[in-house]
Amino acid sequence: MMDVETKISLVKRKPICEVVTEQELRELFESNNSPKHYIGFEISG
Amino acid sequence: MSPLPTYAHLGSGLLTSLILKDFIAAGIKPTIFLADYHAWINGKLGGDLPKIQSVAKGYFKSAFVSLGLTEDKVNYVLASEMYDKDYWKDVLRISKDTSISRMLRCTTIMGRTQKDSLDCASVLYPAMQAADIFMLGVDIAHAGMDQRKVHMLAREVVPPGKKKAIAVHHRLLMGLLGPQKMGFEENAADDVAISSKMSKSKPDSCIFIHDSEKDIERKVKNAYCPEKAAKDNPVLEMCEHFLLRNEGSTLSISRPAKFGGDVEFASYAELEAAYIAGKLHPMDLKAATAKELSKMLEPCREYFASRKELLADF
Repeated sequence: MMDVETKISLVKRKPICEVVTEQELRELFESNNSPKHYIGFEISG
Repeated sequence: MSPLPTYAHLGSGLLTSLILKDFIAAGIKPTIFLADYHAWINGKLGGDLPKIQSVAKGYFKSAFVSLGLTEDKVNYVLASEMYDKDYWKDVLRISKDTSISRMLRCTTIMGRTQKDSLDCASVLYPAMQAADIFMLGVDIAHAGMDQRKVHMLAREVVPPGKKKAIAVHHRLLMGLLGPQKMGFEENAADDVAISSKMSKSKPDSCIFIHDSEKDIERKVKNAYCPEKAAKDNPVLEMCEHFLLRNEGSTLSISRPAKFGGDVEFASYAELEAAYIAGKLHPMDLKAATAKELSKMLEPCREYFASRKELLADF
């Protein structure tokens, strides 16, 4: 299984430019193997 | 919410799929949230809610699936199908905890300047987006930088018993026409970033994931691509984020011997250095970029070739 620092660097790959906060992300990966994420999109026309 | 134009373009579609694939490799479980009510409030698709919903569940979901984000890997949710009375109570709670002026500042997430005349639903919009985060119970709220105001708000107004989400933002891809300024943000750099992003309201500023090879070629050929400059160069940006994103990728440029002959770049750093030094002409860069992008998007063209009715949705 991937270690926490590798996971963090995967998340931080460009074009990701901001993580608020990286420490919280570290703690998340340390305690949770499958954290939940979302990205939302409006449907345009 | 990040807007999706008529069709999924490289920014929303391809970039999202590449980022999400990395997240999946890190063990993250992504959800793609199809924000139908938000689109409705924002006047999209002529304010036709049933159409918005059918396009969301039809074309848009398919666009992401065609990019490899199949339903076993990614959870798809239609906003209105999840909204219940707890959700609306949260919207009210968030609205009570937020000043009108702050909420108005957040409306830039809708892609409209504050100076536009907004209706009252628009003022609800940021509260709804914050409430979405709590309703979905996510650990990570991810979006383009243009959404950061509402994410910061959501971190401050966490309802009792709900999770405070980590905010993760990507830099928006520039449109093919290069940097634009439209007055979205007080900060000039943010304004350019938001105004420049790919947008359906600017023809040929974006490549759609199922564009034909000819269309891709034409759009890239007409793209802004200043000589010897990497800054604000949409073509180089596409090379960096799509073609040379992964270790081991290469970009091959075919050129007649008199212009330097064929050359291959094994990293974006190499490509950028050569371009800045004037060793690579914009025309050659564009030709190679169009060709490789087309190749990358072939699964999307194939997917939609046998599902033409999805494109007719508009």
